[in-house]
Amino acid sequence: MKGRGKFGLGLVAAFLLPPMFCSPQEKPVEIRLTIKYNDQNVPPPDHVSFSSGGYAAIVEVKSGKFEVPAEISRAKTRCLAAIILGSQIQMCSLSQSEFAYESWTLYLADRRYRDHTYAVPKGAKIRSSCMLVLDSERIDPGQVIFQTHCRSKVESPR
Amino acid sequence: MDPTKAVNPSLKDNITGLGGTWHVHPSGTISEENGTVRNTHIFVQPPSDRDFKETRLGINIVIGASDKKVYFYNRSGLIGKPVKLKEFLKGC
Repeated sequence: MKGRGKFGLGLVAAFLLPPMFCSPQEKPVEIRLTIKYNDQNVPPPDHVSFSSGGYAAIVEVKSGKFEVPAEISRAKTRCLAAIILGSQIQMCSLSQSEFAYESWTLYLADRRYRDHTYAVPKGAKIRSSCMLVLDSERIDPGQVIFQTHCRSKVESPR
Repeated sequence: MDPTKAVNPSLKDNITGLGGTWHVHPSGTISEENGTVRNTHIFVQPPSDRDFKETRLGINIVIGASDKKVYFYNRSGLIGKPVKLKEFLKGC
């Protein structure tokens, strides 16, 4: 009986262990961030923040790259916020599919965009808009997200 | 001299065409409004990182269905400026 018990225990363990070892490790999504302001490359911010529902996270940008927290990449929609050159940037309605692209370029302009002009809707206010271009070595073609009212001046504390 | 007799026969295929490949980047826009904020999604028209990664020998072409431009590229990047699709098709 004693031996059978051990065998039974081993059998249970054999069924339980593989899923533990086989389950894919959730690797954080790493994204390369480039900022272009009036067609010029500008350094990316030190950090960006993500929010989704009640969850918010501040993520450090190191050497132009940041890791998306698992809670954010799992969420249905989320917002990305950053302060770039004295402007508060907030892009919302980012879906899960956007995080499949590992290269993000955020275009900001005061008067007009020079690249990807086909993505700019007629009559859009450029100064308060943002254009996020998503690219990947795995997905073709890339995607452009143009958002109005995503940029505002950061008010300095009095 | 017989130009059809190549010293290296394996290179013979290279002179039969420009090489490379071509494909279309689709058009189509999705817009959503949330209060005053309007989000517009559109496919990138120029060659993507994947296009550059998978470049074939010769001149590769991407046709932007939305901006109606023809982009030429090789492993090093874009070749010249994009051509209007209308101009590109003039010879056809």
